[in-house]
Amino acid sequence: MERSRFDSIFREVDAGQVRGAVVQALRSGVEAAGQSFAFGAPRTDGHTYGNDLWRFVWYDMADVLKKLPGGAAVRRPRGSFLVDLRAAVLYPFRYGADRAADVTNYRMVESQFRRELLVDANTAEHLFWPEVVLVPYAANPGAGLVRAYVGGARIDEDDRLDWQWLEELDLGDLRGPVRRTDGDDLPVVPPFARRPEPELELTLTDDAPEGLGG
Amino acid sequence: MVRPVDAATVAAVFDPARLTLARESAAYSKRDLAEAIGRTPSAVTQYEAGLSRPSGPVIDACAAVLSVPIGFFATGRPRLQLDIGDAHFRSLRSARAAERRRALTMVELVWELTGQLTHHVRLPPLDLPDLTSSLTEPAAAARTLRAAWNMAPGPVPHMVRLLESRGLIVAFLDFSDSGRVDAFSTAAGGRPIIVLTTEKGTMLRTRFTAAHELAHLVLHTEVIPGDVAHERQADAFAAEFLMPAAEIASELPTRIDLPALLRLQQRWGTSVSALLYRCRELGTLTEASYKRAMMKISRLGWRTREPGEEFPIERPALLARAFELASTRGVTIPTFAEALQLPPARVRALFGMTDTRPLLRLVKNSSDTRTDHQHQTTF
Repeated sequence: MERSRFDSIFREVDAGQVRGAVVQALRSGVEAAGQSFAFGAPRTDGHTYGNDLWRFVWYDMADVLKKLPGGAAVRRPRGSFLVDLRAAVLYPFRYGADRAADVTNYRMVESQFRRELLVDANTAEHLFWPEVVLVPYAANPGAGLVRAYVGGARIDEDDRLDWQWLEELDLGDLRGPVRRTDGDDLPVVPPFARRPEPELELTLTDDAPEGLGG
Repeated sequence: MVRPVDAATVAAVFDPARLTLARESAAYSKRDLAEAIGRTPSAVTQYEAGLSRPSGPVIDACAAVLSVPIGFFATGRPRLQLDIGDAHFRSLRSARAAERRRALTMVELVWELTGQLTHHVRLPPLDLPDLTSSLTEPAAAARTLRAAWNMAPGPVPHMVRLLESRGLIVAFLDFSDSGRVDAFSTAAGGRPIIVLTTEKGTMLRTRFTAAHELAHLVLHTEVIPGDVAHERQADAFAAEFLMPAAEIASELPTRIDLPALLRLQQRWGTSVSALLYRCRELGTLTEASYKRAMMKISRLGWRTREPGEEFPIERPALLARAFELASTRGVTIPTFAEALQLPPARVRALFGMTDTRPLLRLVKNSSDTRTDHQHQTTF
């Protein structure tokens, strides 16, 4: 298995920045999904974490990556989502809930879209992409994003992904196109409050009144 | 100032309004107090009306029941007496009159505390332009005030601190069962006081409420509690003050997009509900889309509490910091307690301080058959 082709795929842009942007998007999308799930699940029947991840991760992938030099576009083949960075399309999905989950043993539920994407890519007319980069990640509502990769694979007959290359992402890599708004400090200082507060101008009076401790 | 030494002395200089203040502050009806001190309700009415003067033992009993020193009932201290018509209450239906009266007594005490504090510390000068005469459009008034206060474009980082920096007093209701009393404000005492509540409030909602009360203070010199037009104007002012149309319009989603709204919530410090309302106001969402979006966030439970709101409510700091400065002169909480004739714990609460010291719990001897209540006291 080739270890990584990420740098060569994005050789015409800053591959490091793309990598950082992907981490950013995953982290913020997973966090938003966790928040949505925490509040929605107890109150709404059928509210699932997977559905929250689907919506929020896709949104953040598009939102963060479009700020990269050259931009990004969202493609919606067969009702699904792909983020088109010209050099490649990105397709994120959750492969597990914790760090112990084995991405190389992941069995992907097959759909027509996934088969076209991972088997017939470059042959189906409506799916002509120069490269498909999968972005598998592990996440759970408590810990958030715990592991993520970028890689290229095909689906074998057993619905398992046959990885041609795979690279684990450093979740501390925040070299994205925009300043992070999440991270450990989020629960303490929200983004709008990061600007300086007004000062309170207080001075002692010239004379303390008699009998009041002065 | 009179420094009474015993109840008989206080009885001679009894201030009827002080009894009303202490009774309402302790959430006692006249009937409840009468029963507790062994008198008739009409006797209490006569004390408060100044038609008769309570005896020393009655003063003692009132002080014990209402948890104030006997000196609280003496004349000689400046006093603010507020009526419900002096304050901008959102609705006169949501809370009982007694609850609103109780809330007002807290304002009266904060006013007294502030008066004592200004003997030692100069507070920020009041900078609150009167926008009633020149502008009738609330959004325009909000823009004018932002400009007058030299505020940078963008979100307001700390709404409460901003108000305090302009000389307004902000306080939180210091009694726990305040659920039916909404935030309110008054300028009747000179320096305006805004009272916020924690019961229903989340951090983002409290910011909006603070801006709403600011609107009343700059727009509505005539107080009409619960007036629908005033309330709408205050909401419109608050929306423009926290989310200026010229800056936010291009950022608002043009379809129901909850992730985008959550991002704006974090950026502007306003709730998703307020943002959706803004979308409708500024025309990025149709009326139908707005209604669908509100139904959606209701189903998610976001009308009660939204994701991304897990930040502490903005708390006032002006009075506590002023006390810290005063304390460099040797002024202490007991100094203020004596000046105001209040228990020190109540003074700390009025300063907005949290008393972290352990409570001393006194338990009556079990052989005492008169009561098995536990008595809890703080010092």
